[in-house]
Formats: sequence, C-alpha cells, structure tokens
Amino acid sequence: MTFNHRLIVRTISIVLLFEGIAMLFPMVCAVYYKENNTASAFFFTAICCIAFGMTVRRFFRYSTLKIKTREGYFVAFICWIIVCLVGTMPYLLSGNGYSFVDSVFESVAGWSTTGAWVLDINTMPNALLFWKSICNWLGGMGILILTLSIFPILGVHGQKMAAAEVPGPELEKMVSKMGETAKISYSIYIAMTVLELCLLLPSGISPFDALINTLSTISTSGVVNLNNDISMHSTPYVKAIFTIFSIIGSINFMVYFFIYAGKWRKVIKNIELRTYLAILTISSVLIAVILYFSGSYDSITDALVDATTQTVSFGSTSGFTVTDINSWPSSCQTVLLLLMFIGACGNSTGGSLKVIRVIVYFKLIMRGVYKRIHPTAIKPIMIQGKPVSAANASSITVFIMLYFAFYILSCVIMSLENQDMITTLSGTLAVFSNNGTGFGALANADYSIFSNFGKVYSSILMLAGRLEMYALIVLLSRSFWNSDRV
Amino acid sequence: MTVNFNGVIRIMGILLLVLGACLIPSLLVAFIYAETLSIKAFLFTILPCIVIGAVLKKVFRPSLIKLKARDGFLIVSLSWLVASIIGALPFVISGAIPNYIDAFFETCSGFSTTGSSILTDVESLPKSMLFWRSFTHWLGGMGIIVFAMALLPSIGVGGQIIASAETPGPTLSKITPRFADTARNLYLVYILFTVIETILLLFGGMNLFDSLIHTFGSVGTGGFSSYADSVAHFSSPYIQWVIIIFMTMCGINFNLYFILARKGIKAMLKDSELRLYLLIIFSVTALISINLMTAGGYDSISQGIRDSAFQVTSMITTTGYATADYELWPTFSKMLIFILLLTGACSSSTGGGVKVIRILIALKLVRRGVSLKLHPNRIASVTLGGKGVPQEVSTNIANFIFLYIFVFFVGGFIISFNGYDIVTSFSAVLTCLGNTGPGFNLVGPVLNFSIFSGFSKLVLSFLMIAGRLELFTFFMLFSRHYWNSNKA
Repeated sequence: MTFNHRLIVRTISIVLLFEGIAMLFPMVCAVYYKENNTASAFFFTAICCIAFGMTVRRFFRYSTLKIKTREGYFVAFICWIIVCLVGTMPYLLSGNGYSFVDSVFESVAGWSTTGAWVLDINTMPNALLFWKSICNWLGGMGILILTLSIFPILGVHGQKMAAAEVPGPELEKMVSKMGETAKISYSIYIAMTVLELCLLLPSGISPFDALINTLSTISTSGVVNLNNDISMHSTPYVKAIFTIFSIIGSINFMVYFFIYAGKWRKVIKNIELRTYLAILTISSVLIAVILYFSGSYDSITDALVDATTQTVSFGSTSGFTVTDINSWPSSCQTVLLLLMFIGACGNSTGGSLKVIRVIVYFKLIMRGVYKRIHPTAIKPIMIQGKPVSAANASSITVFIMLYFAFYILSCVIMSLENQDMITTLSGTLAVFSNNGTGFGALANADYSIFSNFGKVYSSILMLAGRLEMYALIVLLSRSFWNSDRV
Repeated sequence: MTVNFNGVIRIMGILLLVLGACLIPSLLVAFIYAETLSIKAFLFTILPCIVIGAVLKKVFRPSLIKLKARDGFLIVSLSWLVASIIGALPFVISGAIPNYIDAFFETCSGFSTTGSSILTDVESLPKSMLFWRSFTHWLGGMGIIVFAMALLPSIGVGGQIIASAETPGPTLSKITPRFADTARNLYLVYILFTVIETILLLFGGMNLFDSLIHTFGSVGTGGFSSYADSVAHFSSPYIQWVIIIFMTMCGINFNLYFILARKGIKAMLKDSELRLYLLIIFSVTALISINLMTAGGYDSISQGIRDSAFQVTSMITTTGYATADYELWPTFSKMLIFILLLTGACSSSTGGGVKVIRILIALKLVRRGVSLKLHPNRIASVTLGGKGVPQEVSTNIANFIFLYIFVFFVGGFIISFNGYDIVTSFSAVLTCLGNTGPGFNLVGPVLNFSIFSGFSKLVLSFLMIAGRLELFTFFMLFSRHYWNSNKA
C-alpha cells in the first residue's frame, strides 16, 4: 500500500496556487515603495507558483478525495514544508544578500506564527515586512484548517470534534459538513482582521504599520517593532487593540460558532474559555501587584496596563514585549514562563500545550491523588459534566509527555550553541511554543545570535510546535513508510 | 474508618527510640574529639528522645486493628518530619548552626540525602556535628522506616504497607515473603558497601574520619563533605574513582544484588532499568568528556573523563559531590547535567529523582502513543523485560511525572520571590525535589543555600522530604479525602 500520490500532488498544487496569489500583494507593495529588486523577486516567485498550481491542478483534476491517516500526516507535513520553502524565495531573491538559512528561518517563523526574527527589521524592505505579516496571517488561518479539518480526520473518523487531540465542545448538531465548519472559521477570521484594521487606522500610527500589525496580532504572531516604535512607545489605545485582538485570536474558534449560532449558554459554560480568561486575569493582577511593590512603577494602573499587555502577549503565544522583561522581578518572569507553557486555547491560532490539555492535566493529577487513597474507586475525569474517555485521557497524557520530552531534548541540542542557560532554556521554549520572545539574550526576539545550526534547528522546532509534533515524529517511524511493517 | 491514631503514635514512640539510639555514635565522636558543647547537645537530645519514646511505646499498646495503607502514609510522612525536627536540635543547642530554620534545612537535607547546605564555612563545624550531619545521610539513604523494620520486626504485619510508602519507585517484584527479612537483607548489603568503601578510602590515604564522612555521603547518595570544596579537596584519582564506583553501585536497584547473588551477573544485567541507567551514564560521560576536551579547555584526556564520569554519576545518583565547578563548563555539558538532575537513579536504591524506571516506562508509553496515532485500531501494550506493565502502574507513573512537574513549577514560583534569577530559583527547587544537592548559577556546586530567606528554606526543606517520599505520600495528607473516608 503506497501513498495516494495524486491527492498529495493535487493538494500541494492548490496550496501553491494560493501562496502565489498571496505573493501578488507584497509585489504591489514593493512597486508602491519603489523597491524594485524585491518586486521582481515576488513577481518571479508568484508566477512560478501560479503556473505550477494551475497546470498541475488541470492534470490531477480527477482524483479521489479519500484521505487516510497516513496521507493525512504526510500531506500536512509536506504542505507546510513546501509552503515555507517557497516562502523563502522572496527573501533570498530580493537582492539584500540574505543567506539561505536566514531566509528559511524568517519564512518558517512567519508561517508558524512565531514572530521571531533573524534579519534586521529596520533594514528590511517594506514589501518583505508585508510578506512576513501575510505569512503570519495565512499561517494562522492554516492552523485553523489543520485543527478543524485535518486533525479530526487523522484522529477520529467522522464528525466528532472531540478528536483524539483536543476535546472540545461538540458540533454535531451545528454544521453538517466539515467544509462548512472551515468556511465559517475563515469568515470569522477575516471579519476580525478587517475589524482590527478599521480600529487601528485612525489611531495615529501609519497605515502600513496598522496593516502589518493587524495581520500579525490577529494571528498571535507578535508585533512588528520598527525601531522599537510600536511596542514600546505606542499609545494605550493601540496597546489595548493589540491586547484585545491577541485574545480574540487565541480563543477557541468554536466559541465564535456558538456566538454566531446564538448559543450564549454554551459560550458561558465553556470551561476552556473560562479557565483561559481566569489564567490571564490572575496572572495580570499578580504581575501588576509584584511590579508595583517592587518599586519600578509609580501607579498601580500603570503597572496593571503593562502587566495585562505582557500577560496577554505571552498567554496567547503572540510574544511581543512592551517593556524590558529582563529587568522584571524573577517572580514575574516565572509567571510569564508558565504562561508560555500553558499556551492558548485549542482550535485557535495560538500554540503550546493548550489550555484544555492543561485542564485535563490538573484533573489527572487530582485523580491520581484520589486513587492513591481509594485504589479501587472508579472515577473518570469530567469536563463540563461529560466524562473524558480513557482513550482521550491517554492521548492527552502522551501528548504532554511527548511535549516535555521534545522540549528537554531540544534544550540539549540547542545548548550546543553555547549561549547561557536562561537564553537556551527560554529560547527553546519560545520557538517550540510559537511565542518568539524569550529571556536573557532573546528578549527582543532576535535570533541572529545563533549559528546556522541553531537557526535550522529552531526552524524545525517552530514547525514541530505548530504541527503538534506528531506530523514530524510519525515520519521517523518505520511503520509509516512501509505499511507491511508495523 | 479513619486513621488509626493509636497505632501511629505508638510507631512514633518507637521512632524516637531509634532516633535516640542513632545519635549515640555522634555522641561517641564528640567524646573522642572532646567537644564539650556537642556532648551536651547530644545528651540533651538523646535522653528526652529515649524517655518519651519508651513512654509512648508503653502507653499505646499494639491495637487489635491492623494498620492500613492509609496509616502508612501518615506514619512515614510524620516520621520523616519528626526525625528532621529532632535531628536539628543538636546543631542548635551546641551553637554550630544557631538559627533553627537553618538547622532544620540542614537536617532535612541530611535525612533526605539531598546534600544542599546553608553552611558558608563547613570546616569550622565541630567534628561530631559534621559526623551527625553525614550520619543522617546514611540513615536516610536506605530509609528510616526500613531501618526500624529491620531492627524491630515487632512492628508487625503493617511493615510492608508502611515501607512501601517509603520505598522509592514502583516495586514490581518481591524478594522475600516477609518484608522484615527484605529489610534486613537490604541493610546487610548496605552495611557491607559502607564497610568496604571505608576501607578502600582508607587505603587511598584518607583519615578515618574523612573516610566515614565520604562513605556515608556516597552510599547514601547524599553529598555532604567535611570540606568546602567537596571531593575536589582530594586530588587523588584513586579516591575519586572509588567514590564514582560506589555512587554508581548505590544508585542501582538493591534488589538486583540479590539476583546477582542467586543467579549471577547475566540475570542481573537483564534488568531493563539497569541497562538504561548504565547506558545513560556511559553515553553522557562520553558526550561531556568530548565537549570538555573540545570546548571546555581541558587538556588531559584522563582528567576530562574522570571529571566527566564523576559529575555524571554524582548527578544521576543524586549524590551531589563535585570534583570540578561545572558552572565553568560549556553550556552543552551543563544542559546534560540539568537533564541528569531530572532523571534520577534506579528505583529501590538510595538515589532520588524521578527514577530511571519511570523514565523508561514513560518513553515506552510515548512510543506506543505515537504508534497508535498511525494505527488507531492496534492493540499494543507496554512491556518491561518481557512482562506486561499493568495499566495501573502506567497511570501511576504518568500521574507521578505530572505531579512532579507541577510541584517543580509551583516551587520555582515560590522561591523566585527571593529575587534571584530564574535559573537559580528553578534549579534550587529541582535539586531539592530530586534530592541531589547542587544546582546552577547562585546555587552552583561551589556555593550554598544561605542566600535564601527563611521561608524559602522551609519550603525547600519540605520539597526535599516530599521528593524523598515520592510526592504522593506527602501530598496525600493535604487531601480532604484522606482524613475523612466518608467523604468520597
């Protein structure tokens, strides 16, 4: 049994077609800003992609759409790799002398909504900045495709949204086809983007800044920090917009369905939403209080504003900084670190462990203590009144352990870069959780301190975190390549 | 059906007797070195212990109701707390460590075989105090309860139940039918190792006092030394290799020594945990050696290997001795050492940490989980050495790892209020939880824990005991289900 080649090639061609079309926008931007080399880079790449996409689509028009688990993982993986590689072309061809590794890093950081940089932001052509933001935005949408459409197919056959990965609210009665679900998500995503743009335009920052930051914040990638302008010196209004839309991008998109369908009860009862908001609130208040008492802030409101913005930034895995977090008391830094591990909600553009898994994690611990006391008791884990099946609990347990194992292994590999401990530990976490900002030497999300090896491995980590590791790991398994061998 | 308080208090009485007896060797040392303050301190502690202990044992008769698992947890947790509280008294009374919280920290560090110290000047302490400090390692290594069990089988049927709350790691097989016999056998092996290592160290040129101190530290995998620079004080390669070997041996599952005696070395080497343990030691030693030679500024291969092997075995067995300041090593080596802090030694050994067998089973669970993603309808079970691992055990292991991570983060958060950097705070917590001793940055191998506030020292002390008792035994006491079984 081999792969369904037709399906794979067809999917790739569709994806490339979209990417080519997406490249036309920065091309226009390059022309507008008279960045000719960049314009021709985009033109060249876009033409190739569109041509390839259209011709291949014609050839492979008639192919079955039945997708098996094996193809699913492979398709997910290969699409992302190709998309990222094609996305490096504009950087490489723009004539600015960027190296291949640097371009790959930028592209992967863009598509995985990490928001890390190796190239100097201030000297990058505007078109490339725009392209990176577009990558962020499309990458965010790509996550939604993955989690809403593909993962359920890989995990469980059928309509159940409570897939092996992320147990969530059920959708059975809401939409009949997977396609519908995806379409509604994109519509909401686009609507939110337009809304944020409209809110940002009159705020006093330049339209270009507004555009690229809208694309980056709604996809929880980060904030594009030209000359440290936006994040450090922007008005409270702008910071508030960034904060609010980071939260919006990091909430489970299922919640938006419920709002769309008018089912407010389900929204209020959603345990993941409530936990996530509670985590953000408590962390903000905690950090604000510590900051205020540490003397670095004059008023509690100032402390609260910065604390909230920073908390949301890390909690949604966006990763922008509004102040020098290295100078914060280490208890505040610890809270931020924890937020990095917890991550955003499932089925959103955020990354890391995901709140719903953390909820199950806690319930598993408490059940563990209970079962030590009453070893023969039967006590399932309940989420919103419904029990979590043993298979799901087991799957989540494995995911969490795999996450930590991967993280620890990656720390060892990244330590070959010989940065100090805090930089290595936080940097690895930052890329793995698609946050982008670490501590130590990485507080400004500038990864140029790493050698090529470090940059390549970081790119792998970003991809692994984004694809929730399995898509990468199954490729290492022998039984993946040869189905006769289990 | 609640906790059997009578039984618990009776055992506390027995414990006090045992503690009092254990203080006697230190008293003798005080006599030998004519340290009058210490003699007084020990006498003031020993006499009340023995008296109160005897009274409690008499007054609380062995009840007809048998001790249950639930009582076991309370007994063990309480024993360790009481032992640490009382064990700190000699330090305070003699003025060696005047602050009680400091003394409590040091004693917890001793009994839990952690080896973290708040002392800024170790060598100024009276010899008998240093002896008591290290003797607590020896007692705590094999387990206070196990010690009591071996001496006083009259505690009865509850022995196995209680001791299983204290034994590190999931026990998958029994060695002897009666636990009291197992306890006695374990202690025989333990005493044998102690004697042999002391003799070997004497041959190396150490005086008797130093030999004993460092033997206690290595067989108990504790890490207290009589010198401020730990084992680096002894530059003799022979001494360092002896300590390396004994640390490694005491990090192995002691039950395997019985298998060695009965069935030979091949049967012993079949144990999966042992194989992973040795694999980790050899590979990490090799990696660090190479790293030291290429990037660490080491010139001689033999010293590179020796320092690497020493630090690796010291950290994986959670001993905590140091022959070099690894803070100066390249980040790659430091990260590997950080990993070893997490891993820990084998189950049923004197080491701490998460334990190799749990790591092994967790890895197998992960591998099975990945395979299930590809083949969702597959039936796969986790096997260890050919035998299947019951679902219960797998679940417990996963729960343990999760709780460990949780305690690590919460502990790190609490300690971070001292204001020191994240690496210091978190490595301090990790090293106490895993009972190793040294951490990184401000709690590196040549520094100490005196920088923390009293509250933090208390928290760290509790973490040390919690880690030694494998978390659940300790944290269970915080659950309302424990105290009132009618409330399900």
